Amino acid sequence: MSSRDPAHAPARSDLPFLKHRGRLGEVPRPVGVNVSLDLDPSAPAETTPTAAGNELNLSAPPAAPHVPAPSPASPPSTRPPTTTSIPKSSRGFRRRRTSAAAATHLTPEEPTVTLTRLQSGVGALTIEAACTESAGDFRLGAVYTLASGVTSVVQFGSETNVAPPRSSRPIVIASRGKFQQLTVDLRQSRQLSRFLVYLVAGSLQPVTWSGALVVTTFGGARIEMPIVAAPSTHVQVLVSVFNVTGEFVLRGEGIDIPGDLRNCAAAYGFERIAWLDGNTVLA
Amino acid sequence: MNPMRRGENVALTREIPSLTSVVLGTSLSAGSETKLLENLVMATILCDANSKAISDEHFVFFNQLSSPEESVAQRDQALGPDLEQVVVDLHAVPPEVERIVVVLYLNEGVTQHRSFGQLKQCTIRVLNGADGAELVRSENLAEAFVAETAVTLGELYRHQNGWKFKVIGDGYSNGVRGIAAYYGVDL
Repeated sequence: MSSRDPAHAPARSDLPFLKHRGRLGEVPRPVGVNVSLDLDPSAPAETTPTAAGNELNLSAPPAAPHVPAPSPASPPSTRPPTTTSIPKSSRGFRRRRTSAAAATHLTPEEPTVTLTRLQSGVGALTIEAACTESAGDFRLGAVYTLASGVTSVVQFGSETNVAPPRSSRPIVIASRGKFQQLTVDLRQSRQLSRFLVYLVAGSLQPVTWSGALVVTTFGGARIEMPIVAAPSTHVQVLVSVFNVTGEFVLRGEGIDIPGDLRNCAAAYGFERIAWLDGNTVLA
Repeated sequence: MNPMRRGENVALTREIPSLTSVVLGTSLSAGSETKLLENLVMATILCDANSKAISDEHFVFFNQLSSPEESVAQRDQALGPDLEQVVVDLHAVPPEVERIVVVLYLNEGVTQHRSFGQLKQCTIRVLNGADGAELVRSENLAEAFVAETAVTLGELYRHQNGWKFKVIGDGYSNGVRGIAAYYGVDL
């Protein structure tokens, strides 16, 4: 037996993650079930029915031999099916959509929703942080990357309250209506690659995080997500938005990130930003 | 060639039996009002006999550059003097589509309070898709605009197994919402 044999290697105290090294055991095979994937169109189709009839056959079905139509008196065939076709509903990823008929809720079980190309390209998209004044001093903002590669921050109550900074034709504006809000000009939606919506404390005083994030399309569709976290000065990451070939895909994050905004941006891969300090970008 | 006035139509495929594709182009000028042009959007809607879009995917604009079967496709960059152009493959248009409407609207994004009354010039023209030759051109539709924020410029429509083109120039004061409501598009 070689000392290099991993099955008999001595424990490594210098690599703690190896303490939990496990070895895959034999996966028990279900008795009487024959599951196989036949991807070869030239291979003949299995004609012998398996015990459970669970064979997946993705090959092109062979041409059906000409069989005269059964007479009405013929008994129905009792032969079990030899293949199980994949139902249409489970073929590929199904995008969850939203409409003005009812609000869509982002939950841990269903965290994403995809806007149509019209919802992503007509009018404006409004993102509101519906929080009461009693919550404390906080700011709504977004870290974003444009199609040009420009990465920065737009935040209410800051020097960078439009995106791109100091633009005469902003793509995103941070302002205040009834609540703090971000408005995305969808005429320029193709210029926006992705953005991450967050709340951050405006001072060193902890904020009582409660309320809801409300995203509204131009056509009136509403997407809602609760804002719930323990009082803190942490950054609350609310929702990430990706522009996937013209469709905005929204994902509810609901993550509390200790530290400053720079840490949060880095955690989500927004690294090409020049920071003055942990919460202020160089405009 | 005299420009076509509002309401006038021309039998394109009767005049040119070999016509298989056309380019619909819009030409716009707003003088010093450059903000107006930045927010203008041209869209093409494939409609049934009741003038309703056959689906939301048949609303072709900058963020949905082609209809699903690709019979109508907007050019990412217009060729020639037009601001926007859309190419229509007449033989590929689905049979349930009776008319193809070209609209123009002001996107109500982060800037508002503008209208088509500030336009100096607005025309729609039809080019032969095969060689780019201009077939017809509308009159300057901007002269009649006042407070509109959306307008139907013209339409291609089926007529006796062929295609006609008509200049419309009807405006809407409620922008793309009015367009969407009229043509049955779900925004």
